[in-house]
Amino acid sequence: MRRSERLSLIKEFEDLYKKERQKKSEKEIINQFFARHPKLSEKEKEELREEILFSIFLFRTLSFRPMPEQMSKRVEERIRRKWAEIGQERKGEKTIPLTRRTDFLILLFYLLGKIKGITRIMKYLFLLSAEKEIGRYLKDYYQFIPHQLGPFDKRVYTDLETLRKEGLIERIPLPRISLSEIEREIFNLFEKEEGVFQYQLTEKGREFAKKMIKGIDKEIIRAIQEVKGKYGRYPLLKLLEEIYLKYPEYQAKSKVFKEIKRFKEGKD
Amino acid sequence: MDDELLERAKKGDESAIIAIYQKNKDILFAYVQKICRDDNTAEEIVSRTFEKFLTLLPTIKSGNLRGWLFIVARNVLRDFYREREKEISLTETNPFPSPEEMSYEKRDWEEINQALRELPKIYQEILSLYYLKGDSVEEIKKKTGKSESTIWQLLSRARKKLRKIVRNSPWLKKRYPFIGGKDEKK
Repeated sequence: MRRSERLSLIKEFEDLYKKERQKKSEKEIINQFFARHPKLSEKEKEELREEILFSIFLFRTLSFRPMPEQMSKRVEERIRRKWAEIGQERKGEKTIPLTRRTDFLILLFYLLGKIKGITRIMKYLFLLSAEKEIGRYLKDYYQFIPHQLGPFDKRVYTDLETLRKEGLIERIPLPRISLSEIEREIFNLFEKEEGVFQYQLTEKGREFAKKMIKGIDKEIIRAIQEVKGKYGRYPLLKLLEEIYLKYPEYQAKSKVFKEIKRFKEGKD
Repeated sequence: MDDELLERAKKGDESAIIAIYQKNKDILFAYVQKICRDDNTAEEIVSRTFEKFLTLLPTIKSGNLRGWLFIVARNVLRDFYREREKEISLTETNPFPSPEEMSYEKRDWEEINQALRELPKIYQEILSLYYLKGDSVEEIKKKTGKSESTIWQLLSRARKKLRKIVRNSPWLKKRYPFIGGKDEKK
């Protein structure tokens, strides 16, 4: 058998295998394939059989799918949270200790309410760290680096995703029309694919927060309320500008600072 | 080892719980994924399985923890589908795999991955797209910008090279004697 002919037959078998493997056994698929080619000699069949067995071997061995790393972290977080809940219930205590970053996010939503866009959440978390040293209360608090929109820690994204998967928070897409002009510009620059979402606690999240808040250090609650009081009503533009001016080290990689200045100059 | 971790977990040792999770997560995930063919559902099922594990921890008997986790995952998956009023379609050719089968498949996967890493990057990419992702040559053409004949040529060479490498794995050779090829039979 010519090489090109052999390759074309292997290709035909692989297409058939991909199509039928959910419905038929491997043996059935092989028989079906050879039935299509009755003119093949026994020697040719034998030669091909080895190749198609190798194809099946590749499809089978490569199709094992271990858990992707991000997912694995999310599930681990969920297990730890459940374990903490069970521990507290067994001890007969009605509060849940604040031990994880994601719990802190729940607390933030509980005290701040709905938050429009991840950028805002990120900035509130940064201000809590920079102005209230919240990291003292929580090991493994976010570590911010300069990024396109100022202070940034990608773990905020993964933590929000974890909470969403657990049904503790939900996100609601916001129509672009409800955003201010500069917000639209910023989001157009950086959040094209995703769109803008409002994040808020679900009923389950509120229940969790209610249990947790009873045991929380009052200093933490005060810190969040102070940040809310000071920055909660700031439009996004003002919030970003304030951070850039107060913490100029975060202007370093900013693409948006120029946009803000340009926008403000345009207004003036 | 599993029993020792289980006993520690029962005494409240969180690190033992995480160790049990780390040890079993990939195999459980692959197991569920194989049935439902959806990563997000598989993640949810693995999470719920371990939540059940924590709730029922004091009652779990030592001896076959992995088997226990598999049974729970299967039941959780059934309930999950029931909630969504869907039936899991399982045929004779697609039954629930056994824990033992999944352990073997994990080892196969580890061995084949090690072999893949010995190949040039372009061969790795083409093989993964074609055999792992199940992309058609047309799709690979779009992704890589290579012509159809080049892709076939690369696939053929990559297969040949990979076959030579996997022959060095005693584990794979034992599991799949045909990879030895003609030379081996003589």
